[in-house]
Amino acid sequence: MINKILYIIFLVLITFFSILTVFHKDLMKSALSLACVLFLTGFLYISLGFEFLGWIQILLYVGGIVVLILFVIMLAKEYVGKPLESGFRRIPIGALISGIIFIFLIWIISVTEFPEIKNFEKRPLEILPNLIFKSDYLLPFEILSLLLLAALFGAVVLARRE
Amino acid sequence: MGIKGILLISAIMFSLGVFGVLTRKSALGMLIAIELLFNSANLNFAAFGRLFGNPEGSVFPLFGIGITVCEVAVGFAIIFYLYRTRKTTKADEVDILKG
Repeated sequence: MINKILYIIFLVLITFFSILTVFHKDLMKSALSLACVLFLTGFLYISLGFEFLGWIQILLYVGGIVVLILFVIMLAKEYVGKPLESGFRRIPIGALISGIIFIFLIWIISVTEFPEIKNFEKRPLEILPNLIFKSDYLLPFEILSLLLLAALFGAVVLARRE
Repeated sequence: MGIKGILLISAIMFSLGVFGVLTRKSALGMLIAIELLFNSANLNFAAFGRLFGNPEGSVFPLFGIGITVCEVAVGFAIIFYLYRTRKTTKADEVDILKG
């Protein structure tokens, strides 16, 4: 699936950038490290065999959502007139809860016996388009586009000037 | 590496995201941490889809990405609205609904 050295590089890099995303004081740099995490996750998708999904992740997430976040942060800086407050509060209880969740997840992962990985029959790039456009997922896909339209209207209504 | 490695990466991302959501003061920082949570959930879908040889595991991350776009757009619009009406972007100071 993915060789060991490459996997360790991915693990270290994703952990590092996730920590930077959560702990960096400057929201701008935090958003940029989020972009790195999403980019590396896209390559993980590709290594899992979902190539189409991987490139969608890179195009949409890194190219769309992160750019949107960066735009908002830059706009907010202009709008507010000073750098945004980005401190932390309630660190002990946050560390406690996320630590419990982490230990629980690790315990579950290490206890469970997973079956052997099976192979796909088709070529990976065709899988996702075939599933969406030639099976039951066409209707949810169209409903998703309606949801996007509704979110667009909602955002415009909320953010416009009086 | 097998499936457990991918799940480990996803678990690390998830718990860091939970920490970010719980501890960030500014609402923008909380939204960025929520992106991490979404991402780890999507990674899990893809990993289990690969484990069982089921290509439908890649459809749900696609829908997840679409829903994230909506969430980010509306979330940031709400933050701007809050700043205009309450002059703050800190999540703790927004307590209009408090009795």
